[in-house]
Amino acid sequence: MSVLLEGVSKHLGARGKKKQVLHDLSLVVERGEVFGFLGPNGAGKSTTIKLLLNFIRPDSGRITVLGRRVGAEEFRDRIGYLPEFPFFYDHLTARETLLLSGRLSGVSEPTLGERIPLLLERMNLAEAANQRVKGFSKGMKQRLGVANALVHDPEVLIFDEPMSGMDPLGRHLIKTIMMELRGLGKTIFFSSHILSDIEALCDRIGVIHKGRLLYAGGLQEFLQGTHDLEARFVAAINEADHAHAA
Amino acid sequence: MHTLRSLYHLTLSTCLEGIRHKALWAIVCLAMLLTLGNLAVTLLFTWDLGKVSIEFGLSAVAFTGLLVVFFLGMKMLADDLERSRIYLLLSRPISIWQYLLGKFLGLALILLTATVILGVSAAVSMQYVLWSYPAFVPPHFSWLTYVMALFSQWLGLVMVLAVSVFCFSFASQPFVALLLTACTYLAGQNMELLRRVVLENAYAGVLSGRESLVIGLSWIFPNLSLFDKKYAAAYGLAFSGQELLLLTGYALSYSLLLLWLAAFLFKRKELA
Amino acid sequence: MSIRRVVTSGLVGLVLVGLYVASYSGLQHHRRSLPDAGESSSGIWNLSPVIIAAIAGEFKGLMADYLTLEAGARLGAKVVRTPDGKYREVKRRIDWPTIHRLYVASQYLDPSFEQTYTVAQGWLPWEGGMVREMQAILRTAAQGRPWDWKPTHLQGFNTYYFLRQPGAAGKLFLEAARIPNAPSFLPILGARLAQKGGETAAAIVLMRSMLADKTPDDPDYDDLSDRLQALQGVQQIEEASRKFQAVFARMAQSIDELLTSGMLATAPANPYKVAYCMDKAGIVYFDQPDCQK
Repeated sequence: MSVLLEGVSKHLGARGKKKQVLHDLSLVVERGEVFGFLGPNGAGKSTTIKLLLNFIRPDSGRITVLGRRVGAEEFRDRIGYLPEFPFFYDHLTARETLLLSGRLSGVSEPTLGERIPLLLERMNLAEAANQRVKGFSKGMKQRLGVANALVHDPEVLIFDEPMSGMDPLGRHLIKTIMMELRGLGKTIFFSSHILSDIEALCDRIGVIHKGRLLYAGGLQEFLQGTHDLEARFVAAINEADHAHAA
Repeated sequence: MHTLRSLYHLTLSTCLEGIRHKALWAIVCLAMLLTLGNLAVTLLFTWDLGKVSIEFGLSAVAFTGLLVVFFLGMKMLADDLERSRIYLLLSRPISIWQYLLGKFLGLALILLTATVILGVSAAVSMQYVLWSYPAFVPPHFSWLTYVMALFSQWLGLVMVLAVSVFCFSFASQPFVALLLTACTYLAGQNMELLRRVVLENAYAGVLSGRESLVIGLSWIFPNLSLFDKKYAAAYGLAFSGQELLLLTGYALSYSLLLLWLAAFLFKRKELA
Repeated sequence: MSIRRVVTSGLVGLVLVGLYVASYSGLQHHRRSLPDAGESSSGIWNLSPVIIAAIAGEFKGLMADYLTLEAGARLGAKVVRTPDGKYREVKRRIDWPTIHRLYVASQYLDPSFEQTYTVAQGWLPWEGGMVREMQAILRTAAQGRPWDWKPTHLQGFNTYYFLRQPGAAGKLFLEAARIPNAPSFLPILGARLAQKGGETAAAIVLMRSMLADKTPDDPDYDDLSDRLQALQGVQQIEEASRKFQAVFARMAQSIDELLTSGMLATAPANPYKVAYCMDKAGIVYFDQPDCQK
C-alpha cells in the first residue's frame, strides 16, 4: 500500500477553543490507484492531507506513506504535493521555481535540464518560463503547481483540490495529466468536492463529513446501482447528520 | 552533501527573492539619498565636520539595515507562513533547521548587499567632505576602521535578524514577532548602558542591588551596543582585529544558538 | 464617462480644494496673530542623560549633533519678519540653564564632539556667567579628546581670566602643553602663570616631565630648558625668602638682603641674562629686573 492512515484523530484551534476535526480516521490507498477524497467544505479533507505531509501532527493514530512512518522517517522525496492554493515566491520565474524544487528533492542538474522544459511545455507554460510568478494568473499558478509536484518524478501524488479555480481548458489538462500518471502506475490521492471529476478519475473513494469517514471503497459500490454520485453523496451526508443528531 | 546543497539552494533562492523585491530597492534608494544628504547636514556644523559626516553615513547604513530586517526580512518570513509558501519547501525532503538556516543566510546576504551598497554610497559622500575640509579630518581617521565599523554594523544586524527568525518560530502572529524583535533590539542597544548604570550604582533606582539580574539579562539579550563602532570610525579610534574576531564569534554563536532554538520551537508549530 | 459625471466630479474636487485652502490659511493667519510663544524650554534635553542615551540607542552621535545644533539655534540674535516683508533683528532673552542642559546632554552622548565645547565656550562663561559649569564641560571634553590640547587650554584660560587663579591656570596650560601638537607657547605661558600664582614647584615638575620627552634636537627644547632654569632660580630665591621670614619674622626687602643674611648662598644664574628681582610682597621675577609689572 502507498498510504495508510490508522485511527487518526486531530484537534485544531487555540488552547481552550480546540475543536476535533478528525475522529479516528482509517483508510488505505493502494499502489497505483487513484483515490478520491471527497466531502463538503470543512469536512477535514485538507487537514488529512496536511497530516499526510507532516505539516501537522495527529493527536493519536499512525500514518505511513510508502511504508515509511510519517514524522519519523523521510518520505517527501517520493511524494509530490499540490496545495489547494499554490503560492510561490513572487520574484522567482517559473523555471527558477521548478529548479529550486527539483534541487531540494535531490534531482540532478542534467535531469532537471531535460525535465523542466518538458514539464513547462506539457503544462502550457513554456512561453512563461522566464516570467516571474508574480504576473501569473490563477490558472497558470495551478498548472505551475502541478509541474512543481511532478518535477522530481514522485511515486505518490497528493493533490488538494487540483481543479480549484481552473477554467474548463485547465481542468481538462489536469484531468488528462492525472490519467496519464495513472497509466504510469503513479498513486494519486486527491481531495475534491467536484463530483464529476471524482467519477471520471477515481478507482476508489473516501467520503468524509465532519471529521468522520463515512465510506472508503470502490466508487461503484458507493453508487449502489445509481449513476447519480451527487444524489448518493448528499444522501450519505444526510444519513450521517441524522445519525449524529440521534 | 545533499544537506549542504539544499542549504545552498535555499539561501540563494531567498537572496534572489529579496534582491528582486521592490521594497529593498526603495529602501536602498532612500538611504542613498540620505547619504547624499550627508553633504547638506555636514554644512550645518563648523567643527568636527569629518566626524559628523562619518557618523551620519554610518547611521544611514544602520537605519537602512533595520528597515531591511523589519520590513523586508520579516515580511518574507511572514509571507511564507501566512501565504502558505512554506508548503512549497516543506513538502520537499528538507528539515526545519535547513529551512530556517537557509532563510536566515539568504536574508543575511541581502543585508550584506544593502550594507555594501550603502557603505560605498556613504563613503563617497564622506570622502567628498574630508577632501573639502581637510582641517577637520579626524587625526587618526582610517578607511580600514570605517570598513571594520561597517562590518560590525552588519554583524549587529545579523543578530537582530536571528532574533526575528527566533521570534517567528513561536509567535502566533507576524505582528507579535515584529514587536518582540523590536523590543529585543531596543533592549540590546541599551544592555551595556543598563549594566554600567546598575554596576556603577548611578540612577539605578529600582534595579539597585540587582546586579545579578542585569548581568543575567545581558547574557540573554544580544548586546548590540558592542557592534556600534560609529564613534570609533568617526574619531579615527582604531579597534583591534582581535576585538573584531571576538565580535564575529559572538554574533555567529548567538545567532546559531537562536536558530537552533528556533528550529526546536518551529518543529512544534502546527502549519494548519 | 458622461459630461455630467465629469462636471460633478470636478465641482466636488474644487469644493474640497477650496475647503482645504480656506482652513489651512485660516490656521496660519490665526497662528500669526498669536503672540510669539518664544522657544520652548521643554524638550528631550530635560530628561536624565541616561534616559536620553537609552532613547538614542545606536544613534547617540546623531542625537548629540542635534542637541548641539539645537543649542546653537537658541544663541545669538533672532531675526523676525516684519509685516512689510522685511527682516528685523530682535534681542532675545536666552535661557542659559536650557542651553547648558543641551550641551551637557550632548556631551553625555558624545564627549568628543569639538563643536559642543567650542560653541559652549564662546557663550556660557561670557554671556551666561556659567564659568564653573563650562569648566565641567571642558573637563569632559578633555577626557573625551585626549589628542586635543584645546579643552585643557580653555580650562586654563577660564581659570586665569574668570576665576583669577593664575597659578592653577598655569598648571592647566602646562598640562595642555604635554598633549601632542600643542602650540609651543603653552609651556612658556604656563610656566609664567604658574610661577606668578605661587605654583613654582608644580610648574618645575611639569616642565621637567615635558623635557624628559624631548631631545636637545627638538626645536623648543632650548626655550623649555631656559624657562625651567629660570623657574629653578625663582624657586631657590622663594625658599630663601621663606627661611628669612621664619628667622626674622618679616619679608626680606630684596634679593640682596637674602644674600647678605646668608639665606641665599649665591644669586642663581638667569638664562635670560637679566637679574632676578623680588618685590616687597615676596614675588620673584625672572624677566623684570626692576620688578616692574
